[in-house]
Amino acid sequence: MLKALARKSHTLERFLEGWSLFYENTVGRIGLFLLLFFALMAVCSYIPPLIDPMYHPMTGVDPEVFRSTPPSPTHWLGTDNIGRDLLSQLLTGARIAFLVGITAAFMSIVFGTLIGMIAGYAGKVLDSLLMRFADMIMVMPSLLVVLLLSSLFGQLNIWIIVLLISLFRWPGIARVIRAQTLSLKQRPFIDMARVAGASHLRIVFRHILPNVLPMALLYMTFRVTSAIIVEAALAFLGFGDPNTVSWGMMLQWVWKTGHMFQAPYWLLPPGICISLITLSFYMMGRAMEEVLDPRLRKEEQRI
Amino acid sequence: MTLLEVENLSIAYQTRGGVSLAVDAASFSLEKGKSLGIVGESGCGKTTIGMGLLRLLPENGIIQDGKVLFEGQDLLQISEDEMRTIRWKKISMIFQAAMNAWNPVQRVGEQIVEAIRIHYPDYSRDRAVKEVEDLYQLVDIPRNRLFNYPHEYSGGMKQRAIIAMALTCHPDLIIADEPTTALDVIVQDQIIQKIKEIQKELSIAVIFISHDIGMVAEVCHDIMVMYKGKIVEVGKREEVFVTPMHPYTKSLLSSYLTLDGVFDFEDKANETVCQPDTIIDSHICGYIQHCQEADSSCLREAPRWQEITPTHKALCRLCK
Amino acid sequence: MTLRRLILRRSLEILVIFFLILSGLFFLFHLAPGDPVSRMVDPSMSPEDAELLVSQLGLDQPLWLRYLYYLKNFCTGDFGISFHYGRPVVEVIGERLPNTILLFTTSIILSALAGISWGKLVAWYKGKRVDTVVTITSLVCHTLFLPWIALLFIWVFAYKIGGFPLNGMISPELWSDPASGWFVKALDILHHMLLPLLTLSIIHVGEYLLIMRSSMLETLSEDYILTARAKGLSEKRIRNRHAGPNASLPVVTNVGLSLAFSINGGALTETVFTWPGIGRELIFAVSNNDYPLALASFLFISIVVLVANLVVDVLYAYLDPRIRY
Repeated sequence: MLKALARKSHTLERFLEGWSLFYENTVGRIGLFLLLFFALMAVCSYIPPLIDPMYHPMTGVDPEVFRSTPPSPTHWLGTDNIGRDLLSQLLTGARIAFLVGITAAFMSIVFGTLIGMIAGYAGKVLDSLLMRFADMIMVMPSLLVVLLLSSLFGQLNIWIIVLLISLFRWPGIARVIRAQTLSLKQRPFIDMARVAGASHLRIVFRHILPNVLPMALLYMTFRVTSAIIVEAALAFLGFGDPNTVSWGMMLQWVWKTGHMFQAPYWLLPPGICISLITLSFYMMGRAMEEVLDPRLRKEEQRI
Repeated sequence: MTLLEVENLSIAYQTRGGVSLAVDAASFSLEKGKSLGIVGESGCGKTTIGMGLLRLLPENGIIQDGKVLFEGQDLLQISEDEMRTIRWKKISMIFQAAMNAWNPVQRVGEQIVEAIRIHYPDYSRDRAVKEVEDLYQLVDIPRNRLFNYPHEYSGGMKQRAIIAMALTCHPDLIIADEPTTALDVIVQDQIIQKIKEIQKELSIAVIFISHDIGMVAEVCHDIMVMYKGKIVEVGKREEVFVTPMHPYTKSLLSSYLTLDGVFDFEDKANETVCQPDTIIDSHICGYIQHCQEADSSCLREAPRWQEITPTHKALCRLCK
Repeated sequence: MTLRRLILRRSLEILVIFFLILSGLFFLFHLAPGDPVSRMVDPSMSPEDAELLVSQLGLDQPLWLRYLYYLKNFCTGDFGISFHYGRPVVEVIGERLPNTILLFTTSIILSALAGISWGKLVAWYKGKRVDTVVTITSLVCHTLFLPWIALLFIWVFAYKIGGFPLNGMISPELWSDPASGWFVKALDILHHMLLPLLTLSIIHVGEYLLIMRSSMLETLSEDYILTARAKGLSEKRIRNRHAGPNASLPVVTNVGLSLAFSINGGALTETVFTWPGIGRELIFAVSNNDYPLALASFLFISIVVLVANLVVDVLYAYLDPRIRY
């Protein structure tokens, strides 16, 4: 009991130390604040439709507006060409970005970690098979593959898009996790567990997984950015889920309806949001990397 | 003739926890063509002295005080550009064998030629190559290996090539920092013999930095023992080796002698590696915790230099 | 391992990977729900023509035979007829591929060179204001949403300021004029290429710069840098001769690893600027259900990525002698 408590407090201590290092990092702090801002946007996205149905991002149309209008008291960011409110679309976009980014990243982390651990732990034939497979996926441009698949399977909904993105973004993680697993396998505690009669499954999940988890989480933040970008690009090209409003789709509308030269109030916000949300995840990832990798913050010493 | 005169050299490192002193008021001198060994356990500040002489400390290293008079010129006062002309041409280095002293993507010969041509810009490439070939002969590396890459050399060859590179500009002083650590025993011996031979033949002054007092005693005219940033004993090789005065030197020597038979557990226990972040209390003797001869007066008073012979002295109140 | 053996081994690996992609696509196209025949044969074709094409592509045969036909057709360069253009797919690809290679390789090479040389400098000023500003700017550049920045550039440079063409790769009137020589034509292409190049490069420069910077910082703490200092080399020489080449190795690796992701960006750039490249053709074909064209475009894009990978590997081996032997 005491031991468990002590261990817990030790973990807590390490967490707090990591947190303070993270918070000291300017890049990490900026990233965190940006992220909180977008989270707030996502939460607020539920509000406008409650005020008036015309603020619904997809179906709400202002009856008095017949073309795209600049910002006004009723529409703080203006409207699109059929009179839908741009602010409410922008807020909803934040929700979609989080949804897509985090679920796709999480799934690709799960695939990558599992495959990496199995390849590293099993070694031999299975290892080289899995890694060749990873190589193959790695040279496929994910956006174009998903496009090709959507041409075969017809219109994709948002969950299929998320699944496809994660299916094509795991090899990078798998490689890193495999390398870590290989080095972990050499450590004495794995041998000890084996001698003590632990099954392979138990060794992998009880002894290897906890050790590779921080690295996997780190990669997850980077995967969030790439998932958001791929989804936005798909939507921008007109292959998004037609039932959702995403920032990429807003850009597609402004582009396809030929408003890009007349309506900067429509062109600028979605692009800024996509760029900044990916920036915020990327910054968090970099800061986390510095916390997790002591080599990056080592102090030079030579006596 | 005195070649190098170091006075009161103090070097500190800036760390997260504050400033820690790595070398505390070190003073010593070296005659032309002679060799000096600096001995101590890892972390005692011996490498810091070596790097400090060439002003090659890492970014967080600060030279706080002192003078480094080389041929009468204070190296701590001259500009960085002037310092660059001193480096390698006047004072060169033999690096730790364990270090990756060679740039992995450049051919070894190319790196040596570079050292020559930086200091003798009027040399043609062919002349520089010719000179490197002669040096290779001196350190027994076949000439055809000259333009291989570092990873194609064995550990001993890399080390000999480093010696060759150290000799390129005919320096007056070579600082050899743990030149044999991490090499196997036979190669170690070859390297030591080579350095000794070259030192005699070319009469270059050498500062030999090592943790191995036995090896130092084999090569050097003078020995200087360091402990926790301080010089604790200086003397001629025979004096220090045969009649050590400081208790720390005695323990160093006894752990060396254990190789010949008696293994002394207590002395082994005495060897504690001092951490780099240990802040040195300059008032009382730093060795007091491990000293078997210490008495209560050591706790109250600072250690003083005791002169045993004109050339042999130790920083200990108790030795007479 | 000698350089030649390395190239040979990597080429073999790449061939295997390509074969897997080739086969994977076949099974996707033939096992996906829907009729494979309708995917390969233009619905507007006359029934006789359609029948001829079906037998030519082996679409009336069982799956395994169709697969053999598919492999044979690939080897002979027969990818069927594009629905949209009504011409053999291979012709269309042949026209588009050089344009993509021109834009893509120029951009990757330029941004790698810029990233390496700027990252090297920035690392030297670590902790100074320049460093902070450049690092944050590169982070921002790296995460900019590419199609958006492309639209922005068109809006600002081509529309507001003017002086840049809005789209395309050439000015037709200039090319149809028999008086214009090759130099004028080349200049015209360059003029059209500037904005797409800038768009594609701005994303990559940020990434490469950041990698170069951190790799440079790591390299500067290596022992051989200390050797170089002790040798009395100037700071500039240490930076350019010793630290720089070593530090740029991870950048080269990364260029290789992110090639597939870069080509996504290439396709988007081509689409927004209507640059007649193969990436734009793929997106266009997918939008128009022009399956033969889509399939072949994808295959050729894979070839571009794989060959570029091989080039990067060889370059790496050239830069790092430890790999070569």
